[in-house]
Parts: sequence; structure tokens; C-alpha cells
Amino acid sequence: MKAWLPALLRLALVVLLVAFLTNPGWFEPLLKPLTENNAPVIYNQGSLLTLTVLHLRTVLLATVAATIVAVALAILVTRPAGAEFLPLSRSLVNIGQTFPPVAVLALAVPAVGFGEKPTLIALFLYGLLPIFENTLTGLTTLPANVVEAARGAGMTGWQRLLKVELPLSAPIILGGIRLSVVIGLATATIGSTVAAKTLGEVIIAGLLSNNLAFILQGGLIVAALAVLIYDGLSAIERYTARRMGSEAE
Amino acid sequence: MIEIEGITKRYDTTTVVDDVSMVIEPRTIAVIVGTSGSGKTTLLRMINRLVEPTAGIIKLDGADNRSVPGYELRRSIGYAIQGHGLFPHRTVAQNIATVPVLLGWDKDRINARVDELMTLYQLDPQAYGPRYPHELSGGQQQRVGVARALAAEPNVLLMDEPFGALDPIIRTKAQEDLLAIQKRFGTTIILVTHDMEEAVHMGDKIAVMDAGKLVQYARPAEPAISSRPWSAPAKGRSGCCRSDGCVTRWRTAPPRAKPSAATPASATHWPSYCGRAGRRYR
Repeated sequence: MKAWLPALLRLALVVLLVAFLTNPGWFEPLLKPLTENNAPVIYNQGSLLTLTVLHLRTVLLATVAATIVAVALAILVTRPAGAEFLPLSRSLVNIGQTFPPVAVLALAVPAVGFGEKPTLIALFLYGLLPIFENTLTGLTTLPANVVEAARGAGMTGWQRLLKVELPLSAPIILGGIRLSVVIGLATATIGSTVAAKTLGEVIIAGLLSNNLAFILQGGLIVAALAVLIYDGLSAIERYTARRMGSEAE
Repeated sequence: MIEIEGITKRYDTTTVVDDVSMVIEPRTIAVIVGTSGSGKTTLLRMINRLVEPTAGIIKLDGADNRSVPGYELRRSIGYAIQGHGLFPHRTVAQNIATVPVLLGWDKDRINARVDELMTLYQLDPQAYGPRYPHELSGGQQQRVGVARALAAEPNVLLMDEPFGALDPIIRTKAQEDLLAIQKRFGTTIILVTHDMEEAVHMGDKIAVMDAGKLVQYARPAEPAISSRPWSAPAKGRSGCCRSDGCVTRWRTAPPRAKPSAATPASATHWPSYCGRAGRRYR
């Protein structure tokens, strides 16, 4: 396969996505056969673009919070002083992952009310594990002689962490964030069951009114976003890894 | 001057370094040889406090090395290790500048020093400074590793098998470079190796370690290492020699270890550095 083909496909996907979000009317003839009884073809209870932006915002907020907490926790338990908290924090983030997001939503609504908040809580808890585990892996599998050299050069604990350990683990940590984002993009759709403004609204509206066109457009936008963001983050990961001369081709 | 007085390191019940005392004169190269597990690396790492001793004192120019925090001490002592340990995410110039940056030198002084060291090590600062370590050959990486250790003009340079990963030709060149640089800067160097040839070639004095103990500490040319009849050393010892020097070695297992089925008293434990080329004496 030619090297430019994947790039071309991605570009086409971006163009298609932007065109669909800004001018959904253009695609009406394509989706028309999927509706019955003259039902609306394009989602008409809100702008798709606004919903997409809100969807991305929800995922972004939850991932940023999860990243801060998970990375901080992983740093803490890899320091000598925090080593004994490793099993405890492992089980905590594992619980976050084991709890189904739907259950978290159900439990969070009585506490914080309907809207974006319960969705953020669910996404935050769900996103912790991949970031935490990856950061842990990154920080514990650093090349021993590099860490030794950092100590031997007279770096303090903080300096080693900020100048050597975190930069060297960056590709692995980014991998965790990427997983977390993609899971979050998909999971955010169920937030619309508790009135969060996400693309899930389109899918749920389609399910309720038996409108296949709605379901498809909601699902496809989320899928396209996930593919593009996954690719983008992978590229950043490869770039950082390559700069460090690690085995990435 | 480095004075090591009664240094001992114990991990639980195993004694890794056992009551070692030695004095390293300023502006000289002391080479510590020994097999793996003889405690030579641990001894080296106690000088810059990467390892804290269980007992004993190490004095640098008369001052106890515990009188300043460990990280400050390490900034004043050069440290080069096997496999160079360069920071893969930093350029060659940034790697060399590590300690000067930690010490807060101003930019011009750092740049001047980096250029000086790179020129000294035959690496064009313009061409190699902005490169990353993985873009260099093994020999170049090793040179950058030593240049980084020397960057802050330390009086003392500790080297843990710095040439271990190099092929023989580059290795000889690296040894010559180090000798030349030591002459130029007058740095006191303590070099750990398991290669007896390297020890004899590089060392003003050679310390032989075995099972945590300092077995010998002498000039390569002194009788203790070269020509003393091998029947003379302590009972039960033997040695191996090359054309330019010898080491002694316990002929049987070191006396602390009781003879067992695995190591019968008659077994001869020859150090690996006696090698095929080494002549043996009993």
C-alpha cells in the first residue's frame, strides 16, 4: 500500500465530517431511504455542530481531570514514600473501571442532579485506569542506567521526575490518555440518558422515534471523531518516541 | 585527596564491602579491579553517596562527604557509567550541559564549556551538538558520557566500567583520550573495571577487591603486584600475571566461606581477568 494512502483517507474523513457538521442538508438525499413516513432525515432538535462541540468538551474535561489524578497517583506510589499505597490505589482505580458507567450515572444523578455532571463523573472514573496503569508502567520501566546517571549527576528527586522520568515515560502515558479518550468518546453518548448534551441525544432520539437516519448520523459522527483523535494522538506518541530513539520504527 | 576509612556496606546479612581503607592521591588514577560481586561498584558508589555506607568515613580533601546533601555532593563529582546512560530525550549539547545547568551557570559559560569539551573529544559542536544520543555511534556516545561527567570541572571523576561496552579498538582510543584529558585537567579518577590489562594500563595505583575486601592496593610496578614470589603472600593465596603485572587471588575459596560440596577447599577460584593469556603462579 502506498504511504500517502492512509493520510489521504484521514483527510477525506476530516473533510466529510466537517461538511456533514456544517451543512448536514447536503447529505439528506443519502440518508433519506433510511427513514419512514416522511420523518425528518437530519436531526432537528439542535445543531449537530453544537452537540459535537459539547460532546468533545465533556470528554476533554473528564480526561483532563482523570489524567491529573491518575498521573499524580502513579507518581505518588512510585516514590519510596508512597510505595505502600500502590495496592490501595490500584484497587481504587480498578473499581472505577469495573463499575459500569450506566450504574455510575444512576448513582450520581440523585447526588448531583441531571445534566453534564453525572456524565463527567462516570467518564472520569472510567478513564482513570488506563492512564494510571500506563503511567505506572512508564515510570517503573525506565532504563536503569539513565536513572542512575540522573542521580549521579546530582539531580534532586523532583528534578529527576520532571527532567528525566516524566519525559521518558511520555509516550507510554500518552498511550494511556489515548485509550481513555477513545473509551470516553464512546461512553459519553450514554450521558444523554441523564440529559447531558452530547451526540448520544441524536442516537437516543433515533431509537425513540425508530428513525434509523438519526441513529446512523449520531453513531457515525462519534465513530469518525474516535478514529481521528486516536490517529492524532498515536502520531504524537510516535513522534515523542522517535525523538528518544526508542524502538518505534 | 580521597580518604576511605573503614568503609563497610551490609545489606541485611550479606556484607558487600568489608572494612575497606585506602587513600587516593590527588591528580592520580586509581583503578579498582575485581570480579563481579566483589564490591568494587558499591565502593565507588559510596564515594558520591549513591549508596550510603553502613560504617566508616569517606573524606574528600579532608571534608566528610556527608557534610553536604547527597545531590550537591554529586554535582561536584563527575560520574560516568557503563553504557553511558545518556538522556535519550535530550540533545548531545543538553546532555553535556546537565550538571552546569543544575549548578546554575550562565548560558555563555555553559555553551563555552560544552564547545570546549566537544572539541576536545573530536566532536564538531555544530554538527553533533543538536543531535540526539541515538544518532551517534557507540564510541561517540561513550565520549559524550565522559564529557558530561567532566562538564562542571569536577576535581574527582568516578567511572564504573566506562569502556565496558566498546569494541577493543575504540576502547584503546578511549583509554588514551582519558589519560590525555586527565593530564590536562589534573582530575583525580577512580575507575572500576574487571579488565586487568586496562587496570595496569590506566592506573597509577591498582586496588584489587575480592568478596568485599581490599586484597591489595599498590602501584602496578611495585613488588606487591609484579615480582614478589607468589609463595610469599598469605597462606593459601596464589596469583596470575601478565607481562606487565600480577594480581593475587585466594587459591582456595576466601577463608570466610567454609568449604562445602559446591566449593571444595581444593578448588581454585581464578579471577576471570587472568584469562587465557594470563600466566598463573602458585
